[in-house]
Amino acid sequence: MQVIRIRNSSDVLFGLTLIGFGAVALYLMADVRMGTATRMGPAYFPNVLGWLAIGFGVAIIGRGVTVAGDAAEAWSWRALLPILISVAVFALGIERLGLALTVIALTLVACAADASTRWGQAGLLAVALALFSVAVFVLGLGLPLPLLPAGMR
Amino acid sequence: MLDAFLPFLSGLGLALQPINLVYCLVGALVGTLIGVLPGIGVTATVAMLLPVTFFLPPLTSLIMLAGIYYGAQYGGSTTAILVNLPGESSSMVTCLDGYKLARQGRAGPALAVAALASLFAGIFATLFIALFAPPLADLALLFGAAEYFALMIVGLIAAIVLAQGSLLTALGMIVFGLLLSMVGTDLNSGAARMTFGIPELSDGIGFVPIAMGLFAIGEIARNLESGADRSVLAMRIGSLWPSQDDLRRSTPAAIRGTLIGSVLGVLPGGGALLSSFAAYAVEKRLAREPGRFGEGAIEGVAAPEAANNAGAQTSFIPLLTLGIPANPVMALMVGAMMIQGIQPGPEVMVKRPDLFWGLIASMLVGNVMLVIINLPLIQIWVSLLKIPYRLLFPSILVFCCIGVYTLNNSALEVMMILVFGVMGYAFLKWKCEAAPLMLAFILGPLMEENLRRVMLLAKGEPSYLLTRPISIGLILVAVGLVLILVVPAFKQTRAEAFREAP
Repeated sequence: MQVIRIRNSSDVLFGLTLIGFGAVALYLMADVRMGTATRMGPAYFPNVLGWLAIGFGVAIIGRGVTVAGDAAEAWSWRALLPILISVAVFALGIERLGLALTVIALTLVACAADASTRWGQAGLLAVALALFSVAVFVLGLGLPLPLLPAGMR
Repeated sequence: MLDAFLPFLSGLGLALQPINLVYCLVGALVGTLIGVLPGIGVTATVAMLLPVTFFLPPLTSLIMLAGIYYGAQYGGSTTAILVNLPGESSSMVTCLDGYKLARQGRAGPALAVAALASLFAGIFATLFIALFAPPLADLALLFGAAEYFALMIVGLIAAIVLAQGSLLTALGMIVFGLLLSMVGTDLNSGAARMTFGIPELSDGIGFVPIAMGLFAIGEIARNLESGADRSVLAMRIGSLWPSQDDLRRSTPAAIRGTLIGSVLGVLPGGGALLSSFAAYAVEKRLAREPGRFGEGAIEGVAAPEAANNAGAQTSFIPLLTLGIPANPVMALMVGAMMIQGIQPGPEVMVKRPDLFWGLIASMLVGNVMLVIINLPLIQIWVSLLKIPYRLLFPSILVFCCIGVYTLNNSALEVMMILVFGVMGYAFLKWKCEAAPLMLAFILGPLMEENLRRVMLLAKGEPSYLLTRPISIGLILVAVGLVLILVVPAFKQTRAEAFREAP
């Protein structure tokens, strides 16, 4: 038997993702009422889509092992990870630390994503962005954002 | 004939109100800014500014958001011509000849021709919308559930046929987007679907965090790893005045570009990007000396710049008349309208003529503003190009986070940016276009609702869709579009249309 060879890893990875999401959807909708084609229940359309996702996933993997294509590019965690962490910092910080400190923290973490960052400049940028956000979004537009850390309000 | 323009004139009156003028200018300025700066797209910007529109009247916010979209087409040409980088993806082809012209010391005329061609296209496209949108909306008022369902299928299929990339991948992305749109409470039964028991998810996944994750985060990471710190040549722009010869060559090109853009913009999946590629390809084919293209032909600037602006504007037609977004930016406009409590569709023209005509008329105002913003003030925009990306991207992240958080004061939605950011990055790496996912995500709930109604009327027989003339026609169009893609000749033309990218 011939070993299946991956000819286009982008296709295989995307196909697997689709199958995964389709399967999760089918699993999550298993206990929800299906209904009939005439009177569709809440699970009807999602189930159709779940099977479609699996179908397309299989087809795309099929293409990935038969038709040659570009290999998926390598991920650069060096750039991606600090960006993701900086967003998480905002999500976790905004209610506890308030807007000013959170923006400073976000900026500093994000700057780690760029190899050419000069840290003095990054510090200035962080403070400038914090001042700008407070001035425009809270004082200017009056958006209901907490300004100060939770203990100091 | 004159009667047809009466509502347009009353719309112009609304567009000229001070508050609308101010926000039209804001939209034009922001649009030019992000157009000039490579690495920030229109979709992410419109998503970032959605929360601000909470505080504005509906017409004012639509005017501002629309201004960003067509304004970016003006700004994009500046970067393309001066730096050889597309400020917006729709300016990609402008790089080819625009940058050559700049290297020959003719940056000024190139910039002027780009702006004037865009102005002509903008005015024409505005009148085009005013003439063709009302009859289309009248037709759409006759649509029932079957027609709407068929129309959405056509919209999604056409969107991928006319876009770049593999059909199979795009179909996968559509199903993915539809699945994501199912998360949340089912409106008919109240049942929770795929919410993982998280209360915030019972309202569904927000389209703003999805748009930002897919279109902003992945893009930033990609820009950083490619280390694209651009250097602007210390270039003198010189006189802006085009020569007689420039005008003689670019006038017909601008007219052709405008017509191509106006028509292609209306199609689902159309808009600025497709229009500019197609217009360039046509000019090259029609030219007596095709060899001049790529070596600094002024027509190669006039045609795509006219086309991308016309296309950006006429892509509002399907949104305003059918309620169906043609591209991700229009999908966000659907969201902006729903935030204001307006359901996009043919009723908008009947129930809210002020909104419909005010928005259209504002495009006339905005285009005039944009020429003034872009030509005399060009030096200001050029100096902005010198801002290094390392200062820009943290700012984008800050505005994204604040934008999403203020939408619902929900930290969980900010976390969603993270989830979709990883997806957006993965899709970039796997060469999967994210646009079909976004369109499908917006259309998903509507599709389900209409499918339910159709099947109820049809007593469970899908063939019901084939008993009504309009829906038969639409489904035939969808099938035709898929078949067309399999035809080798069309496949080649499609690849060619997108090949010009440097």
